[in-house]
Amino acid sequence: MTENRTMIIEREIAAPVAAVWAAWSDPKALPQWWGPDGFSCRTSRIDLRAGGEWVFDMIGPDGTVYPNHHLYHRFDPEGGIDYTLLWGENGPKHADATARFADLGGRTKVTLSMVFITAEEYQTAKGFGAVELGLQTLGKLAAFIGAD
Amino acid sequence: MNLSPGQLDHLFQALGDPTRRAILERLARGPAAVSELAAPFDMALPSFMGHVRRLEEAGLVTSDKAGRVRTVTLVPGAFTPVRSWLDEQRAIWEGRLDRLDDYVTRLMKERGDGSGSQD
Repeated sequence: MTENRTMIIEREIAAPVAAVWAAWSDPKALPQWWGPDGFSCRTSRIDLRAGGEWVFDMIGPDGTVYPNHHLYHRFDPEGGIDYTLLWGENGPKHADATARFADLGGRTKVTLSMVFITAEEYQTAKGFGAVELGLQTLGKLAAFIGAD
Repeated sequence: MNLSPGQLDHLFQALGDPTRRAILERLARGPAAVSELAAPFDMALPSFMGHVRRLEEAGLVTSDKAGRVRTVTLVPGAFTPVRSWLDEQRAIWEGRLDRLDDYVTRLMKERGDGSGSQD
């Protein structure tokens, strides 16, 4: 059922894979664009390689601190990046995510996928076992109830 | 997103069960009597009513009793918080790609300028 919780976003960037890869794999570069908008990243530890991690706080415009922890399972430009996002250092899992970089000859297609586990789901999972959220079903229902 | 505390929790909990999702899928086609809803499930009626109650508590369905028949109806707009949450997540990741694009493009320009090449 994980495919129903997966969000996939694609983007073509007018730069070769090497340049896009540099933005992901340079520990000085990554925190500069990771965002979100208006947020800054304060890094505690950063080790960008397979088996490495990034422990950091995202600091919101109002000063709110959101602790984050990424665990990198795969990290190379050809294979891409596979990682787990945690709520805070060694915290509960937020999502499993991947990034893939396709060479379009001077341009790069970046494909991100995220399989989300919400904080609510995490709480729920403790009491109810694995939680499955059927987005296709939700889409059908939403169409029916006019939420689209 | 204007959610009362725990509302999203209730929704995700209510959706986190195959029986309850099947009930919702059936109700998407229109209101149904409890007896009709329960028919496909190999389950004692009290257990089945427990699922219906969970959906009611989450605000996903309402039920009305007329005589001996209890009819269950989907609540319009009940899924909006779930959809909003997912839309928020999408917006965050789209924004991330925007900034990656800007960052890489700026880097390319700087390098281009540094080596004297032309745009």
